[in-house]
Amino acid sequence: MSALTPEAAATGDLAAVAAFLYREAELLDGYELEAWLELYAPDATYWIPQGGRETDPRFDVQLMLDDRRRLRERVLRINGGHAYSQDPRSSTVHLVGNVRIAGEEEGALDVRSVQLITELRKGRQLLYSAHVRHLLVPDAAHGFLIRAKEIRLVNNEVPLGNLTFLL
Amino acid sequence: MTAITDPADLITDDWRVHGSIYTSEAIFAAEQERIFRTSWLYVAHESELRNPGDYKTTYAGTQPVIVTRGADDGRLRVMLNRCRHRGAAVCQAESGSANFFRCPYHGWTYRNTGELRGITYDDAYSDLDREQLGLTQLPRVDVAHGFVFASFAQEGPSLQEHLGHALPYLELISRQGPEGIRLSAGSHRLEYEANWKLQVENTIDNYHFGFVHRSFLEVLADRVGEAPPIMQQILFNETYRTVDLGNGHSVHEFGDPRAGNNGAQLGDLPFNLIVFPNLCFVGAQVRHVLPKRAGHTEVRLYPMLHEGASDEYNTAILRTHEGFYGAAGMGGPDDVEVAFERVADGMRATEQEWLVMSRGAHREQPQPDGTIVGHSADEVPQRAFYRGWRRAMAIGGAA
Repeated sequence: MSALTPEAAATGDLAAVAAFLYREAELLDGYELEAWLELYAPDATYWIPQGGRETDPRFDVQLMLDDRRRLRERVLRINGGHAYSQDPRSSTVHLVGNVRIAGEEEGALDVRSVQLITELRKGRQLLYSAHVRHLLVPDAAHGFLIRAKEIRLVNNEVPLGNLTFLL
Repeated sequence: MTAITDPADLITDDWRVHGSIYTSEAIFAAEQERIFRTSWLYVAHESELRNPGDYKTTYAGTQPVIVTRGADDGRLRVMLNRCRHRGAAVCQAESGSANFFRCPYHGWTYRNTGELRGITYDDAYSDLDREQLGLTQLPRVDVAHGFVFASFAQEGPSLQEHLGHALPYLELISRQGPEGIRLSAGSHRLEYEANWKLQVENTIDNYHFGFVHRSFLEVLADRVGEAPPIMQQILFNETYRTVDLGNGHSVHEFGDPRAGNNGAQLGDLPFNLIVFPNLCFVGAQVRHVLPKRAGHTEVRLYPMLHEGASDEYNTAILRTHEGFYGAAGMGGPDDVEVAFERVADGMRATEQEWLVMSRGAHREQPQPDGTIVGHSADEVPQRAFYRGWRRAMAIGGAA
């Protein structure tokens, strides 16, 4: 797997990649957050940009740009019972589509998808749509590990309410 | 329900506050008239308008405005974002640089000084006084330590007089970085379904921190291996204090405000500051509170970067800020949930409408300079704000 050409990746592993993304979505929707965290590599980054393609996290404020330590803290916080913005919790459905393997980057598969995330909380239903990018590296236990996840919400520049559930 | 006709009666001398100040559209309209149309209002930081021709769009109260730096004279102006012909907003972008604003509806064009430059097919007008048809300017614009303020009022206290005892704190903020500060990283934008004053009040409310932000304190405890001492400090550290600075302004000092940031998070100010009516400074951010309706508010949080510091340092300020603030932060959304929206939910119970805002009122210490000092977790900042509010809102002036 580590020497995949883009062509081989695109033809050979799409089903495995899609199944992995569905698995991640399922863990998020089921609030199995500790199991979800296991899908992230020790050096993983998790990014929800604010702004268009030109936004640069070195200079521009982002909605979220976590390393795995902070991602673990998010899980601790949500599971700890005192995060009022998740009391009650959001109920979500992650709909994953348009999955494709765009190439390879430093030994990782560059996977693109679109996601429609429906969130219901306190009787109010909201929709979030995003272009999503995963960098996936092979892993014996889970099939893949996530080295990077980037969630480009279409509404990331408008005033937002509560994005404390994990996307 | 109590029948009250003068808003000044909504706050009693023993610090009971009537809930309608947060829910009544009539009060909201009166606030726009008596506070936002008379006071000095923050609109920009000079770093957002460095070069001639630069502009940004924002709000003065509920009114959309454009702040510009004159392309020819470098002067700062604040004008309504509204074409004088049929009222369309002439500028859509959040910020940029332009010599002209052209209304997309019928093509009327204005210089970035606001002056009307061109009317399309103007032979159809017989007696139009073009000099009177520039974009409507706010009559007074002034700058304090880089912070740009404007007022709808032709006359009244100067900006220096309005800021009063808050002015030295703005100076300290302006000197945070080796070469000052800049607001170049954009802003987090939040909206919530509750009154704007709840966000201002909550900016310095040390009493709430251990309750609303318990989950964040748990995260910090996990990070450093022991419970952070913030609640002990707030309750028992005598160098921590809240101060009513007069004119509705207030500050929370944690130790000497000139002595750096007291080991707090990266880039954090050594104090939190509220500048009446809707400008706040907390952590490493400028917080601009934008009233929309009695029950709807937008908030813009601008991280303050340090001019002259390394890119790495400023990037770390951004990451630290994002950990707590913004829609996905581990702190701010808990304020939105509890201190704003659950308050709005509770306020629907109107059978008994009075709130209690007297915490620590008996131990306030008036100072010779007119400021009032109180304990860290007392409601001194809330009372400071509502003293200003009550005076401005009273029918016929001073309450």
